[in-house]
Amino acid sequence: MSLPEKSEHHHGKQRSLRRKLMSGVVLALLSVILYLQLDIIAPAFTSLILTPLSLAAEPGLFARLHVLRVIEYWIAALVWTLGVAIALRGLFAKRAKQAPQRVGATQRLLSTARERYRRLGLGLQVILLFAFVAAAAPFLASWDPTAQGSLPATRLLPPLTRAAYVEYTPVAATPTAGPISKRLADANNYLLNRLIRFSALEDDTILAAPSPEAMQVVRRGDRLFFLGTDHLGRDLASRIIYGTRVSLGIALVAAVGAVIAGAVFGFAAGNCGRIVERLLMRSLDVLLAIPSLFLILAVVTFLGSSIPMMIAVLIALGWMAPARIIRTEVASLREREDILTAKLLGVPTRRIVLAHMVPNILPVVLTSLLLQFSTMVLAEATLSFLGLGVQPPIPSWGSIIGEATGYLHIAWWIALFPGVAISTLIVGAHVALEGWQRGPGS
Amino acid sequence: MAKRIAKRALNAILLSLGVATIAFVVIHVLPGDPATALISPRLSSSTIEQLRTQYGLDRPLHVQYGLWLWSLLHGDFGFSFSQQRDVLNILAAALPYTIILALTAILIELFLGSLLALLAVRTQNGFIDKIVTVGALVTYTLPTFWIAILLISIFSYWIGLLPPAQVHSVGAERLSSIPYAIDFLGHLILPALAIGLPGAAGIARFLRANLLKVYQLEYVLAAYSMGMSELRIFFSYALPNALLPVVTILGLELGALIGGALVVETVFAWPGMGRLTVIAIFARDYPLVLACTIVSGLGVIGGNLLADIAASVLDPRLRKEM
Repeated sequence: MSLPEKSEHHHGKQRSLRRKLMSGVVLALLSVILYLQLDIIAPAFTSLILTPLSLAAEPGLFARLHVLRVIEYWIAALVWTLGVAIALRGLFAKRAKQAPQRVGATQRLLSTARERYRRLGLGLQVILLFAFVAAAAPFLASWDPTAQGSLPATRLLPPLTRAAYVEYTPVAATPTAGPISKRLADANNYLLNRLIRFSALEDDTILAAPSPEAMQVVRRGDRLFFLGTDHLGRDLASRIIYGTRVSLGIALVAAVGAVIAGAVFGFAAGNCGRIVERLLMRSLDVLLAIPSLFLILAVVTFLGSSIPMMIAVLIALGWMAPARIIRTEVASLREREDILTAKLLGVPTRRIVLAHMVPNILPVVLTSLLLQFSTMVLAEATLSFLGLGVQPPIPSWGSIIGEATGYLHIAWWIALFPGVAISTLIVGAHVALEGWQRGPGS
Repeated sequence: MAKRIAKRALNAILLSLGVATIAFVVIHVLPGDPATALISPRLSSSTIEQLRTQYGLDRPLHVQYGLWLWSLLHGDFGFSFSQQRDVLNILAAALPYTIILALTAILIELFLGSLLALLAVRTQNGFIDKIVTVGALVTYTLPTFWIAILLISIFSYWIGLLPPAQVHSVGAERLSSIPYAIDFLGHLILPALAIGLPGAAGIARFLRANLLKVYQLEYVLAAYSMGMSELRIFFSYALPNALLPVVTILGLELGALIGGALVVETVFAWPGMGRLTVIAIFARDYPLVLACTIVSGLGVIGGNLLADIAASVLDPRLRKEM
C-alpha cells in the first residue's frame, strides 16, 4: 500500500508548488502593470479612497463628482486589490491538510473526479481571466480605445511600434477648498479628462491640444503600441481589452438569460400533460429548423441594433437548445422512484419541482450554460463582424475584425489578435465543458 | 422501412410548412415595410399607394399569407423588389454555387476528418494523437469568419497563391474550358476550406472517440481472437461501425449548408444562397428573404430526412427498430 500513498503525497506537494509558482507569476505581472500604468492606477486609488472621506466631510459634494463616469476606475481598483490579495494568499498560505488516504476503487474514483474538476477549473480560470481583464480594463489599456490619435502619426502601425506623445489635462477649476476634496477633484479630473496627442514619427511636431489655454501639458514621452494600431490610428491592444467588456458581457447575460428561459420552458413542458408536451416539443422542432443566423440578421436589420436589442435577440434564439435538454432531463426524472414516491405521498407539485427536481437538474444546467456561453460569444462576434452587432466606435472583438477586412493585405495584425482572444475564450469554455461532461466513473 | 420513411417524409412536409409560416410571420410582424426601403420620399403618396397595390402589400395579412402560400405551392416564389427579377430565377442562379461549395466542404470534412481520426487512433495517447486532439478542439471552436480571414491573409496576401474572393478571375470568360475550370477551382478552395476545416476538426474528434469505443466492443475482440489481421479488422469492422454516426452528422451539415454559409460566402463574395440572403435582408426584399429562408429551412429538414434514411440503409439494426 506504500506506493499509491507515496505518489499521492508527491502529487500534493507538486500541486502546492505549482500553485505557489502561479501565484508568484500573477503577482509579478500585476506589479509590472502597476509600474507601467502608475499614472492611471494611482489617481484611481486616490479617487476610490478619498471619495468616502470627502463625502463625510462635505456631503454636498456628491453631485459634482461625476460618480458614474469614475465608477469604472473604482471597480478596476477593487478588482486589482482582489487579484493581489488572491495571489498573495496563494503564495503564503499554508498547505491544506492532507486528506485521509483512501484505497482502491475509492481512490480511482477520486482521481477521475479530480481530473474532471481540474479541467473544469482550468476552463473557468480562462473565463475568469477575461472577466478580470474586462473589469480592470482602464488599468490594462494604455490608451482610450476610441481615441484616434493623429492619423499620419498612428495609422496602421505594426505591433511593437513606438510613437511620441504629449499628454494634457484640463486646468482644473477646483470646486472645493478642502485639501482632501482638492486632491480628489484633481484625481478625477485626470482620470476623466486627460487627452493624448501623437506626433508623426519622422519629425517632432506634436499636434497641439484643442484649446491651449484650458489644457496643460502633464508629460511628454513615447509609448509602445503593443499590438499596433488600426486604420483610424486607434491602439489595437486597448480596443481588444475594452472589447472584452462588450463581448464577454453580452455573451454572459445572453447565456444566462437563454438558460433561464429554456429551463422555464423545459420544466413547463416536462410537467404538463402528454398532448401539451408533444405540441410544445413540435413547435420547438419548427423553431430549431429555422436557421438562427438568418433570424438574427433579419431581426437586427429590421429593428436596428443596440446592445440590449442584441442580448434580447440572442436570448430569443438561444433558449431552444437548453429547453430541449432540460425537458428530456425532467421527463426522465419524472419516472424516477424517489419523485414517484414523493408524488404518491402527496407532496405538492411546486415542492416536488423546487426541492426534488431543480437540484437534480443543476448539472445539466451548468452544461447548457457553458455551451450557450461559447455559442453566444461566437454569435456576438459573428454579428458584430458582419456590422450588424455592436456599432462603432464601441469596440467588440467581432467588430474589430470586421473593420480590418479592408486592410488585410497591408495590416495582418488587426484581424489576428482579436481572433486569438475569441478563440482563447471559446476554447476555455469548451475545456470546462468537457471536464464537466466527462463525469466521474466514465 | 418504406413506412418509416413515408412517416418521416410526412413529418418533414409538416415541418416545412411550419418553417414557411414562421418565416412569413417574422418578416411581416417586424416594422419596416418593403415599401419604406423601396420607395423614396420624393414619390407622391398616390404613387406609393399604387406600388403597394401592385405588390399586394395593401391587403390584410392573412390574405397576403394565403395568396403567398398558394403561389408557393405552385412553385411561384414571387417577384423580387430589389432585383426586379423572378425570385425563382435568382434562386436558380445562386443554388448551384452553394451546392458546389457545400459538397466540396463536405468532402474535405469527410476525408480530412477521417484521416486525422485514423492518425490519432493509430498513435493513441502519443505525440501525434495529442496534437490532433488539441488542434482539432481549437480549430473546431474557432469562429468561421476568422478562419476565412486567416486563410485569405495567409494564402492570398502572404503567399499570394490563391485568389481572395469572387468565383472567377477578371477576364476568365475568355479562357478555354480547362484553364477556366482551374481558375474556378482556385477560387473554390479557400471558401471550401473555411467551411470544411472546422467541420473536419469536429469529425476527427467525434470519429476518434467512436473508434476507441468500437475497439472496446466484443465483436472486435472476437475478430482479434480469430487471428484476423489488423487492417482487415479496421476496414471491415471498426471503421464502418464508427463511421455510421458520422454519416448522420454529414447529412445534417449538408442540409444546413444548402441555406448557404452566410458568413463565408459574404467574406469570399461567393454568389451563393448565403450571400443572397444577406443581400436580400439588407435590401428588405420580402419575397427574396422569404424564399431564402424557405430554401434553407427545406435544406435543414431535407438533410435530417436524408441522414435518417442513410442511417437506416447503412445500419440494419435501425431498420428493425420501427
